[in-house]
Amino acid sequence: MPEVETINSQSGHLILKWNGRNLSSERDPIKEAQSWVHLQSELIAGAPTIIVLGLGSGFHLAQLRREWPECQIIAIESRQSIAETIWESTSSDLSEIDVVVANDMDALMSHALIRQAVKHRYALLMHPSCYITDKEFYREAKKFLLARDLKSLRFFIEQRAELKHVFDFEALVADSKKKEILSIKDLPLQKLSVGKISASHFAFFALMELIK
Amino acid sequence: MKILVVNLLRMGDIVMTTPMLRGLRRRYPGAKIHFLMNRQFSGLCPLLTCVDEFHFFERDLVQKGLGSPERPMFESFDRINELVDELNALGFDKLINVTQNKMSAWLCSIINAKEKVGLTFSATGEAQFGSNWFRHLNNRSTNQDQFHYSDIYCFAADIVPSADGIHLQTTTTGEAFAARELYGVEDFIVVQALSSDNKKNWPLSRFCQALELFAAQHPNYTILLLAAPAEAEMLQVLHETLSQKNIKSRVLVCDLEGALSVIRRSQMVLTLDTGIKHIAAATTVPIVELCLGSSDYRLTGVYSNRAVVIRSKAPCAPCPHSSPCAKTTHICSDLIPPEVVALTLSEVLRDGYNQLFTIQREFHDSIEILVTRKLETGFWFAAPVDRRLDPWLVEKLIDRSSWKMLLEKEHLKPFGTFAEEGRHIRKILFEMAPGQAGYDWRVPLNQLEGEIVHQEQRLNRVQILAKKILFQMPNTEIEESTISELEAVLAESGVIANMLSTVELSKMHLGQKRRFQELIEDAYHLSQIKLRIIRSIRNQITESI
Repeated sequence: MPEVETINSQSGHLILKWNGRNLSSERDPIKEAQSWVHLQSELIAGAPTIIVLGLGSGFHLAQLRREWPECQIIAIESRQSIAETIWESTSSDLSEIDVVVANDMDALMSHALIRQAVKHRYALLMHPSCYITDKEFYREAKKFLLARDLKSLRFFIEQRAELKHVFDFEALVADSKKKEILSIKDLPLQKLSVGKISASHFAFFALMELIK
Repeated sequence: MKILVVNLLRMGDIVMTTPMLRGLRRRYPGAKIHFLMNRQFSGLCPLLTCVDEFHFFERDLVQKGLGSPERPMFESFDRINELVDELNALGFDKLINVTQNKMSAWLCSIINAKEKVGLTFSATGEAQFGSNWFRHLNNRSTNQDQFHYSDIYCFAADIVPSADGIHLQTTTTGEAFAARELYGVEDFIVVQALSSDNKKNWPLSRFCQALELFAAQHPNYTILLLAAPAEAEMLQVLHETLSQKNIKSRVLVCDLEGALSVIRRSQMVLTLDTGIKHIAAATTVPIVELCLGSSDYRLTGVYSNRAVVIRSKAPCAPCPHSSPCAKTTHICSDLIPPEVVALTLSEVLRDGYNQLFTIQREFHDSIEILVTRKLETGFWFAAPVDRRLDPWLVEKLIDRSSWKMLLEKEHLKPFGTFAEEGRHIRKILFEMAPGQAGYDWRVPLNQLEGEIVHQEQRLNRVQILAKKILFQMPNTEIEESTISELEAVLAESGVIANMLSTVELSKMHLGQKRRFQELIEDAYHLSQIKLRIIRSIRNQITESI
């Protein structure tokens, strides 16, 4: 049995199967995509970029494009074969979706689209198909894109000068207890000196007032 | 000209900003007025006039971004920066931050504007107010007499509060809703029986008793229980209880547009300290407010003429906002008997304001009834109904006017308006006690003058002592007795006591010393202003006799 195959759904759409498991609804993938996108609307809430983990059969991406036409949509897929099959054979319109194919963190972190996307606000969505195709990779990718561990934080701080100015990453590394960072308030600040306090510091202080 | 008004507080606070917005529109007719508020209260926007563009702070989303492990670490940080970029792209000439909290201050510090009024922070983290009025609001002691927030916002924006007070516009949607829902209902009163803060609530069983007594006197009136969707179920119980007693009542679920139009058609509003209370203040309908818990009528009372405030004399009221009621029973609520509320409603409905004095006298142990008024001196004021011929009233009026003149630096102007202020106060005194022409206000004025002269002597002593401490060479011992004496004298002064509670005199740094000296000077100028106003009022009374 091939890893990827295509079948027709009851609604007449071409959908993908991975190792015999459907990557979208066999009955009505469009309706399923609509419900899924509806459930994500709070997480998206006006983000200029949406990063989606898992290509699935692509219907959820096409639906996202319809409902959030002004957003940049980046889909991350770890399986080359899924990406190729989607482009060649499915009926979902993915012409305006940026697809990043990467099967390890280094490939993901070095991708130009990802490096650019993390410089501003984005929403991170996980499509259920990613649990089927490559659970391990997507778990890592999620942790990375949520910036919840030291490695990914280093990446973010390197990409964004304003973060480097505010947060003291070296102090964080030195604190061996902090393997996982749960919240922005756990990040140590650079020592403040007169003339070096920036707008980013002020934005951070405003946030901290909401945590108190 | 572009003006940004920032109000990141709750619904009632936003409504209390409307006198200032109107004043800004009058003062700068060609200006574009922008308003930044929490998204949660965007339902108010159709009611607000004098605003050209609204901007929203997504407080709920920012907080979710901070608290949820499923959202990127820097989402909320980026959201704040996006808002700042959006606002900075507009290029404001003036920013007025009426939100006196640190969150808004940090935010407003990075919004660019040529002039900023209200709390912001400098690059060194030092608080900046841009107005004596906001500094006063921040420094005031809780025991001190207070200005209403709406007055402070106006004066801080360099606008004299106008007599028209709160201003909201009705909408076609709201009017259509009211016309439809009130079809066939003739006489009705609106009751806002729930607030979002438990401490401010009066038990529904007490509302029921009060409304039953009221209905016995006014059987033709329908009781309209105003409800937000989340409140409907609780109010349904009250409605059913009233119905069992054959009292005409109804629960009316509506949005803010509907609420304004419904209230406008009503004969009276009974309310707790809620956003609806402030919305009602935009109408000419009589209002009775139950002031409970952390509600402080001096700061947030109904900003209109002839509203009635009923408050308990519980020694713990008003309590702090942030903590729950620390008492075993809700004393401030228990002290207000349903009979008082029912009697007050009846008197207000028949325009019997003079009879409120009788109710007050009967229940003077537990409650205080006050009537609000927009004074000619520009302030809002709530006067207890039993203190209209009281030296207390003279003192309060003079105190407010003096503070206003001090904060406006009137005493530094070559031609101060003391005589004009005195004329206003004299007129108010005479109006507040109609039919008491024989009462000689010069007696309390003389008493007050004596007290101020005495205080002034003590302030002279303070200045001498303060210089000793403030200009002491470093590392030299300050005599304990000097500090004790200074503290004792200052404790009497409302101006300085607040600062002393947080800073030990001998440990002040340079900035605090400077501020301390300013406060002593303020106290001195304040007593000078008071004396000039007192003399002006007295002269005018003498001339009129």
